[in-house]
Amino acid sequence: MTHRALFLYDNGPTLRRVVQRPIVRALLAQDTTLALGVASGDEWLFADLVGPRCRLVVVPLPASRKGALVDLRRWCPPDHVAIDCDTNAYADTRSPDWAAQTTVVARRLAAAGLHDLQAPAAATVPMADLPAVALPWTPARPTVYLDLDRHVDPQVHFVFDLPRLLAVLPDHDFACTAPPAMGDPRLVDVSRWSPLARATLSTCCDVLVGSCWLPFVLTLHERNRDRAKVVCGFDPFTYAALWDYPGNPLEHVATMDELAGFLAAHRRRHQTRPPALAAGR
Amino acid sequence: MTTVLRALPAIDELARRGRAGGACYHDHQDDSRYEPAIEHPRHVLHELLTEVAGRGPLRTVVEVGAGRFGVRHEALRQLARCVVTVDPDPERLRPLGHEPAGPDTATSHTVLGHGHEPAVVAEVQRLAPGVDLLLLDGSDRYAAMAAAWRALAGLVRPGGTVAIVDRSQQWPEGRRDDDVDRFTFDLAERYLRPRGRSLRRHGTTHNVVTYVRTDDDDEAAARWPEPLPSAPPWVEDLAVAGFRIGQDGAHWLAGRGGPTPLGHRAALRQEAPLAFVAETREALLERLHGWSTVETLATAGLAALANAARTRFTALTAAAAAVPAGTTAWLVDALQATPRSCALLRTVGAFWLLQGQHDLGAALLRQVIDLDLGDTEVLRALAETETWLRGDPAAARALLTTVRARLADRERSRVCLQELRGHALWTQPRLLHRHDCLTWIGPGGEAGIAAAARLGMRMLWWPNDPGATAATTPLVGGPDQHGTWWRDPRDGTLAQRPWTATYGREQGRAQVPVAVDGVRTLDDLLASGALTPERLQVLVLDVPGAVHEVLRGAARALQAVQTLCVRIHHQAVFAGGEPHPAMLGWLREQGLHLLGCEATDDPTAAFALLQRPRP
Repeated sequence: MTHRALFLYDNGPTLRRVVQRPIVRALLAQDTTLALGVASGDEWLFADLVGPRCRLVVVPLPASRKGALVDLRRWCPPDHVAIDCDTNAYADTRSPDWAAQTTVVARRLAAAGLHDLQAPAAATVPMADLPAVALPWTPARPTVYLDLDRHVDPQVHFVFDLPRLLAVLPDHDFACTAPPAMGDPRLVDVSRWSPLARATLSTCCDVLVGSCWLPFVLTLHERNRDRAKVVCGFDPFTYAALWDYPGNPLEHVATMDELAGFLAAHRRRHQTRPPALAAGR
Repeated sequence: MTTVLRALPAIDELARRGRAGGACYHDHQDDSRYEPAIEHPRHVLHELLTEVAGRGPLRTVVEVGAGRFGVRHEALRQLARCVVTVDPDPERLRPLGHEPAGPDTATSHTVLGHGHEPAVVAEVQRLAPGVDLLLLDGSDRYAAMAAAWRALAGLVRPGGTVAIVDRSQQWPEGRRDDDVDRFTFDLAERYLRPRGRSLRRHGTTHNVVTYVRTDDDDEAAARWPEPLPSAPPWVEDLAVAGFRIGQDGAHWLAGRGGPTPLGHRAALRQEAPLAFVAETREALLERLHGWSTVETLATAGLAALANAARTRFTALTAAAAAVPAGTTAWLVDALQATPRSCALLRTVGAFWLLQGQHDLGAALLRQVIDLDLGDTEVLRALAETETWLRGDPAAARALLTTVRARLADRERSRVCLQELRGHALWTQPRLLHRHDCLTWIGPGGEAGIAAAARLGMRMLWWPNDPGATAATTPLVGGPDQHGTWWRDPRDGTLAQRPWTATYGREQGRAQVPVAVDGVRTLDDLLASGALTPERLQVLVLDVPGAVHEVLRGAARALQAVQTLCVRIHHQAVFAGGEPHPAMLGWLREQGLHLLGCEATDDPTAAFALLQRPRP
């Protein structure tokens, strides 16, 4: 196999690139050298993957929430082959899942004539696994990761009823990723936390509640693989399931009633667990 | 229902033609790449109108908020006899009511003001005493929307529809506690649910919610919501450097060429071609004064580059270097807030070129070209930048080649929109991009011929109407063979018809592309050489009642098809409103993937659009 130098980039929203981390890891396992094009301020996406065969190419302009302000491809090093990882490039790869990611990369590699490189594939769907960082606040009580942060995500519509959530889980705190619309000591505002801190926080929470896909990708961590999680207002019948994998416990709910029911059921399960299991033994 | 089916193509046509720079519908996939004439996704508006029309004749419609281009007013006039539009901006009301209306439509009224003002309510009541549809789209804010609902919903007759447009979650950057989505949530929970009713939502992030008003409703007496706060959101209206400035909530705004007052979300939606947002008035004024300098320099620099006046450009670089260093920070802020503003990209790109940041400046100007292919000054300046400043003439050549290809694509789209309106291909003109040949089996080929002729495509048409005479229409794209096939109405068998084309290079008997004994299939035609694979790049199949037979006889031919547009009947191939999984599964095995289904004027049928993924 010939050694290859690839420039991976995506002009879409920053958070969309979180799920490209498994792709980077898989390509690094082959005989490749990678340059990862990122906008200024987005270095955290891949900083932990940088090594002898992986470096960042930082464009000196930050991204907006809609994506890079300029085409990152222009910063492709001359001896690298540019690979656009945008899954919206093909009509059949717009699902937010591992298969779409690998399909796009496989097609791009084939189009570039790199037939000797294997498209990333894995028996187990990998997780993004963002690196852990120190948290400004550590949950002392059972906590729900409540992803109120919104993104340009046309498939989703949901309005959270915070008073009702507080009533459904009276013994839980709620870590809110956007400033909550009401004041309550159990609503902890983590909106100013870095994405890495949010990702780390999600691994300490009891339940993960999301709505928009892009902020919720931060919770794709190996430690959250079997954790109770629910996505609100995302239509799974029209759009593919979010990062689906065998044994995925993810539930989809369409209304506040359904969300309240899910959380109440979770509370009942938690309360009825034998003490040894509840303590994690 | 018939009326709405008749009106929807006319509404599509209005959207296509657009007005004052706005064109087509809102596009979920990329909302900021163009300015939609109708600020709803197509399926949302169609669903809404179909639902409302299903409740009975639509006589009177009141819409609060004209929208950016006022095209929705004209769209509603295709259906209703009387349309009243309320808006506080006289500029938005001025163009309304000048388009030809639908067959049963009589009047068009405009009322200047906000929906909650008593004088406006009185005027609306005078013009529209019994409202069939109230469409509230006048504000991005909870309080204003709630006030308009409280004031006007009582004018809707029992059985009429109240509809509320909610774009809150489409623009999360401007999210506030008093969003419209919160209002519709409260409306459902605190007003409708106690009355045993609920809201119906059309669309997702960008949606319209509706409910039917009944005799029991009494919005004015409802204790919820709270009345509108008395303080207006816009507290200042000064002209500075051509901008009008003011305040909306926690944000100070400046807009040039947009609506007055300019709301925060409207600024983010780029309703003004150029807008700035700041946290304080002082910061905003500082930016506006700085912008004057930047704009003057950039305009001169861009002109110098476009005209290859290198000496002049070099002279301007000294002045650009003297601009305060802090300018860059707020220019980046502005780019992040409205990343698709051509005016902003153009000026900042040229300014950064003057400051010696050639890579960044060229990248921004390239964004302008991506957004506006018609900006020839930027194109010339960019070519000069690549050649002279970046020393890469190959990049300049590549740029010009790309732009030429995109201009050709754009022309292709325009022709499709003009010639194929009403047909499923109308909705996705990009399907015809970079194809040379089109094969059309079924009626309606006249439109295909016209489109193919203008696009320089070669077309093959088998009309399934035995009496079709359109075969005599000359083709510009090249002479073609014509045949006919049809299903005999007496016994349902498929029969051959003589091929009677009077022009073209070839003559002979009809070749019937269906899989019945004694009849040749598309695969047979391919094998015999009567049809070549390249002819099948785009295949339109409009063969009611015989689609299965045709497809069964086309397994090999389908391998050559890049785009397939096939009319399918719900009863035959639809299950529960979705395309039949067996048929789609089979087509997927042939490598064709479903892009979507488009309704036709026949409620039992739809066109399925399929495409072979590009490698």
